[in-house]
Amino acid sequence: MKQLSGIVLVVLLTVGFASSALADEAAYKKLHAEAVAANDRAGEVGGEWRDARDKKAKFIKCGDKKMSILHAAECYAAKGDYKSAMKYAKMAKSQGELGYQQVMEQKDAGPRH
Amino acid sequence: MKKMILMVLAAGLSLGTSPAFATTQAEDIAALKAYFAKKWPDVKGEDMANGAYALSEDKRINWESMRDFPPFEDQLAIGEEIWNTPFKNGNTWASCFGDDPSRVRNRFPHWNVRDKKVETLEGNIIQCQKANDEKPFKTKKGKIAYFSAWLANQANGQTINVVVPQDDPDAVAAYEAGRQFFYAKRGQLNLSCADCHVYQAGLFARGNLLSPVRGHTTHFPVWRGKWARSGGDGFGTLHRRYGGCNKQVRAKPFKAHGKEYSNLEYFHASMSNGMTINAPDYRE
Amino acid sequence: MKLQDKLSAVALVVMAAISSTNVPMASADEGLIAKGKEISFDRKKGNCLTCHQIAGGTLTGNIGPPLIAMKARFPDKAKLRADIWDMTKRSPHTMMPPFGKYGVLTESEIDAITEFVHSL
Repeated sequence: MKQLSGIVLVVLLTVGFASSALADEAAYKKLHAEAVAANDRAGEVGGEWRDARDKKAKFIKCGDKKMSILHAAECYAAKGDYKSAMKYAKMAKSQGELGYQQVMEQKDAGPRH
Repeated sequence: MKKMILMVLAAGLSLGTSPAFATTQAEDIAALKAYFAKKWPDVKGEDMANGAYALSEDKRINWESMRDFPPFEDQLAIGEEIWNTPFKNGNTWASCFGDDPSRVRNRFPHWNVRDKKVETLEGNIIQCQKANDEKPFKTKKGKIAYFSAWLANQANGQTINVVVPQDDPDAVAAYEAGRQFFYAKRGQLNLSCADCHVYQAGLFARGNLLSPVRGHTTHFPVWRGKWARSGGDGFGTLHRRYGGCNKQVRAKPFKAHGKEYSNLEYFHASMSNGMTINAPDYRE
Repeated sequence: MKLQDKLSAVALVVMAAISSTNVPMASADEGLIAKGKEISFDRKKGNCLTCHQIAGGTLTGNIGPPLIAMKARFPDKAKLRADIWDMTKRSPHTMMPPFGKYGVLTESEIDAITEFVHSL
């Protein structure tokens, strides 16, 4: 009896783990898509920031390499670390949104001297 | 009474439809000249092109010794060799730029009426190579910088006069786009070109004295100490510096000789109208 | 060992442990201030010396005002933090990056910098 409940416990935990991991993966993929969209939008108006997703960026470390924020998100996702992946996808998304807003606010920029 | 109403209506309409800055190139230049003259009444017009070296005695001493023994003599020689070397198809650079190499630099940037775009010197160097089936230079450093530097050197002493045909709305739009780019804050650090090179020019960012925009393009391509330290070769074109500055404020840089930087150059070079070419030069 | 000796031994060990872990009493702030200074001077983070003169900094810029007499200038620390978070709110044309609004620094980094700067 004790052994069976032990096995049940392990199975339940594993299933629990797996389903929360699946939920994290889904949440990450959604954030990733939103980050791409936000940076595409910023890019259309010339407002992309340096570190959000450019392949030449060297900003966030994943493993032994530095890369762009979104690339780091992808790198962590590949390792199964969805918490970090989500954190960086969110950061990349925020940069895209702020970059777009910045362009809109600067539309009438000109000399004021 | 009727006339008054019409006038008021007209004024209202024009306020609604005109751009935020309806100043012309001439007005912008005059305003900038006045601004800098007020800031530094002791700096004579031409000297301003020397940027930090006009404003700091300490830095000037270092710069003058660099100019006595410029670190870029070898690269200038390469530039001359490039001019004298025909393409594989037998054509020469003269087929694109004319026979006189001293009459090349000062023709750029200019407005291309037919293609509705700004033409830059380095952009045209690459265009010339492509038109002659030559492998084009890399866009920002190396041979293109040596060649552009030599061409600029050949034109030393000539007065800059970038023309923006006021009756061509597309040319005016390109100029205004360049101006907007110069004055707009960008990047995660939220800085505009004007922040450093107009409003805070003359002040220190760490140990670097910020140079004024007026005179900037007189001395490009530039041999930058910082570039030399990291790669041995300090030469770089104007668009190389645009990219570097954009990256420094954490904005994604634009392509050399693409629309953004070409329009920017159109405005940027205009701001040195009336000053003389003095290139290449050393900068820290 | 007698019980009393055992107790004294334990007491000695515990006391040694406490003093060696160096738990500061009123110095939680000092730790934060030290962290704030590190972040301020870090070129890749606050990079404050680019524009501001700060005691202990070399080759400082002068684009912004020197950071001295901060308690007198900012009796309300929250106002100082708000400036670091987004200076454009108070001064739309400022050159100071919106460290918080644009995510240049994290909220806890800004907390640390605020403590440090306010102490100047």
